[in-house]
Amino acid sequence: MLKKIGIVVLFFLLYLFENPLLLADQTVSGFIQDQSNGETLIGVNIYIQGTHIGTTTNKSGYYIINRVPLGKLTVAISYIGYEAKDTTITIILNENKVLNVLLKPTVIQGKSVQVIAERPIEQEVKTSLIQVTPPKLKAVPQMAEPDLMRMLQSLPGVLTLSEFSSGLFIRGGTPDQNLILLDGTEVYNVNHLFGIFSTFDVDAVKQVDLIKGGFPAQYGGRMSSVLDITNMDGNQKGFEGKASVGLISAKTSLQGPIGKGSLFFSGRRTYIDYMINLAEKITSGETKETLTTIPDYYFYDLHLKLYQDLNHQNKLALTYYRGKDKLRYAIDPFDMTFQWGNQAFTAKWTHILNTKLFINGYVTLSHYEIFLDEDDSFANLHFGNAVDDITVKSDMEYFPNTAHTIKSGFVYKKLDSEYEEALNQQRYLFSSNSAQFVFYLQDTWTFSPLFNFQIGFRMNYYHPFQFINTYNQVKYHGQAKWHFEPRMALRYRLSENTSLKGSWGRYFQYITIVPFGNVDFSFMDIWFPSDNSYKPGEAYHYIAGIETVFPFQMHFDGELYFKDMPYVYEFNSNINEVLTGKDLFYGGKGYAYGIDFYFEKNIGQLSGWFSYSLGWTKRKFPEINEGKSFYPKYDRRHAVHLITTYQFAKQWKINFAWTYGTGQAFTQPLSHYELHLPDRTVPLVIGEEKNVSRLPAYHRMDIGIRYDSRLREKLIKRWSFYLQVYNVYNRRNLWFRRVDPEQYPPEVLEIRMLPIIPTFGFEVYF
Amino acid sequence: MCKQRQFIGFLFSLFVGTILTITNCNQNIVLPEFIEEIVVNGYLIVGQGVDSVYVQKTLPIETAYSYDAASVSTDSIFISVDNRRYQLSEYADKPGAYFLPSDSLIVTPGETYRLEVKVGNKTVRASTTAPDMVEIQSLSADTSFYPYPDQDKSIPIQMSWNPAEQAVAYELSVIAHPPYDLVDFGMDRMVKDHLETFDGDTLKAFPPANDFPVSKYETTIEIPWFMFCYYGDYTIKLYASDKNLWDLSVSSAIYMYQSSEFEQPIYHVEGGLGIFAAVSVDSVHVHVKKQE
Repeated sequence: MLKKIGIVVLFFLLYLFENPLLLADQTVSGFIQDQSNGETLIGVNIYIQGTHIGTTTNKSGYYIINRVPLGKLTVAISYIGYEAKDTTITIILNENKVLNVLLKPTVIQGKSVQVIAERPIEQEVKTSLIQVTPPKLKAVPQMAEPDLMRMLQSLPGVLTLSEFSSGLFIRGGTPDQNLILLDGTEVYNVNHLFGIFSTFDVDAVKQVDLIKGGFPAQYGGRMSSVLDITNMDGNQKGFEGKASVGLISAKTSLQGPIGKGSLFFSGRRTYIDYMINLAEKITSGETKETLTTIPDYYFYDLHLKLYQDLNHQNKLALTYYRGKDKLRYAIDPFDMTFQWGNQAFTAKWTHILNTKLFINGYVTLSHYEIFLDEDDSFANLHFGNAVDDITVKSDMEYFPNTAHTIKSGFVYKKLDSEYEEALNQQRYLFSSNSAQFVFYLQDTWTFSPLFNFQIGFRMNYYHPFQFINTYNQVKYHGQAKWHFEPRMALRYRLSENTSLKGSWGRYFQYITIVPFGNVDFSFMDIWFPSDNSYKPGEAYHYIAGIETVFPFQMHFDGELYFKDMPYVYEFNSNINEVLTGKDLFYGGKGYAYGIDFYFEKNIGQLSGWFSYSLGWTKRKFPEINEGKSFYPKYDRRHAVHLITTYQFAKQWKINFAWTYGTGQAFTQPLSHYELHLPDRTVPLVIGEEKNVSRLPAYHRMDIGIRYDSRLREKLIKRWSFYLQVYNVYNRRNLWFRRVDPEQYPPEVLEIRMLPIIPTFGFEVYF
Repeated sequence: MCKQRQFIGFLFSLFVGTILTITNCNQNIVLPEFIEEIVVNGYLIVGQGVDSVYVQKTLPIETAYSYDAASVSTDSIFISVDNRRYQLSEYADKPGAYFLPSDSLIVTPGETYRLEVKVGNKTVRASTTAPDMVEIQSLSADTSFYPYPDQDKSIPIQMSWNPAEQAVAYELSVIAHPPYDLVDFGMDRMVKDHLETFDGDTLKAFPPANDFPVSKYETTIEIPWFMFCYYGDYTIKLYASDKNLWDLSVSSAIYMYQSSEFEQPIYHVEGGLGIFAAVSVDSVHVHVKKQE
């Protein structure tokens, strides 16, 4: 296997360095930043006027244009929400020109920026990518406050299980098949408040890339999609802050210059527990602990980022995130505590070796844990799951000439996981240690102004080196395995504004979720890394699409996809005993196919998007549904979203969102009977064939109105007020149906989702 | 600008119309067609005759359960062992419950028993191999103290028993005596008597942990106090079970909490549902006293 890799690498190197185009060359490169705060900008268009030569900035805000013509040139730079800028430069033979540019944000939101006359040739071939910026994040009216995962659930191909789930079911995949990166660090749980909110504070977010499939070689370890979140670096020009109060939480962000860069902090905490305590004090003069029957609950999260622009060649960013939920139910005679949360730390070093070679090096630590503790007269119970992920990785971008962009890198990941159960004096522990080494290489080759081709591969070396199961007194060692993941993508420009695109790739996954409790309300998931008792998850993506750009920054994207999953896993709810990983799961296969349409308008008085998804997904397991294939419950045939923001006055905006989805698949109860056990009898219910029925269609309308005060040069620069109504027409969508077999006849209970909920909030910018 | 607003207005009207149309559509969930199945519930106790094999049927979900409505009467119910075949009789006062005269068949360890039931055009078959007699050899104490609210929260009772050939596992049940009618408040605890192997040499024996009190045929039971609900007399039953009961017990999560997917426990009944198992049983008496 290593020999094969060596041959491929050698081929690439020979191919590149024997290329005559590598000879005499002149370049323009640099960083593009926001003039007001120094924040680097991602995806900015830069091109040489009068030519098709151009590029876009990468995730570090860096760009390079190769083989720039000699002489006097105008470099045109444009970005949504910023005033376009033209800069004239003179290029001499073999010059590597550094051109750092500051862009001025448009003051009035919604004002159109200069319409781009010519678009640069995009070096990247991006299929199934949707980029989300803070204005877009806040465009969707939400319950209580803007939420990243909720917003993403309004994009085509992205489905949700319920209003109580932050999980993303992307093109037939499950939430554990999504790679979620926060500033390069993998995050394992995104749920706050049992899934109603997600862990990401939108005030800290700079950009979100959602890649729904066919993702390039730099990403891996998951079978379905990538959610790559980049947090803000912070204001390098002056101090600023924001404080806001919503229905259930308060949050603040502070940022300002420090050293050669900036410091950004944001924090959020719910105050339901304090409010209840206060209410109890007012009404009875006593404290909550002695009176109320409402459990104590809170969540919080903190984001901290230190960014240092050491010099033009070196940038350093340190990011820390911590989020935690705690629920304590201490009503005599019970005393139970649930806790879950993440911590993530990233040290990122950006180094420009020369104008053509750009390197990001990362050291990341991610810790996820959940606990349930009960210490009362009934039991002394503890169970918990913890995942510790230590990753060292490097991404290199090399721009040898105008025709090629090479990306390469490595990942070393050490993953430790523990699941522990303890009841009274008995303690069982399942622990695992594994390591993963990855190397990837990818070239984006621009054959002509019309045609880009991207080819790459990712080599995974996965070694599950130790598993211990004290319940069955088993200790075993997994065997290391190599897995090869080829990736391809292409783009063909039919016209100036319209492109055809396609991608294909193979994807492996080495970690799976075991749901805790009812899967309809799963927020405390247990991660189980693959041992070699069963094969890792595997998927193949096939994607073809078309995209076109209309005037006024309107954009249409349509994609057909097929996802073949020869190895997928479903939790074994009929567990006999767990000796090895394979006992926890049913192994089977699945597929998903469909079409996604997305139309968006980013600027102007009226902005927003419309999305439609038509999709099918099926699973087949020998042990489930008598071996017949079935629709998983997250299969929805149609999903429609209409999101609009209309600015009807200078300070006033109205937001509107409407969602429609075909009812989810479910199994209806068919009959019931009694089963005799040695000392008792239990009633049981039989269902029809798995998931052949459908719940009623889901639909909901949300409306919000927002007032932004005028900008002032005082201590309080601006303030905003918003009022939002969730589920305007109060449709009680059905969440799931369950049967209580203890009732005679068994009672069919319909559990419904949220009613109409008005919420409001207040924000102050200083 | 005027045109743009008109366009927005048009879109909005169209959209409101669509929503009203959709929201006015009533979508009723149609009940699936009922399919009747035969359920057998039968336990053969080693050393005893066959006195209660129940034959019942499933009832439609919208129908209330009653013993009489679920009971199935049939003339065609047989138990076979070796080449002998016995026809079971239905109790006159208990439809759906079948027996053999006590002198006709005694359940013997090591024998394989086959059940065959015919109801209309349906045939249900199941078989079980009876384990050896199980006998409790020692009990640490027949009197314990009620622990609540002590920190210990459990009543440690050490017991051991003889190995029972053919038994796949052992199960314990705690049954309260009157006046506390808590017979269903049982506790299952399986002690598996062998470890499976996995992929040859990749599975290795792990030294027993001190805090996990399993040896092959003895255990220290630490029963949470709520299993003993209050002071009084209790019976601890020890079952040596066959594979049928073992599989049913290990899939116990199903009958303790059936999810919306309506998974069924692991059965070994061909053509129907339920359990046909052979067990041997021994029991001990424990008295729980109030701590002075």
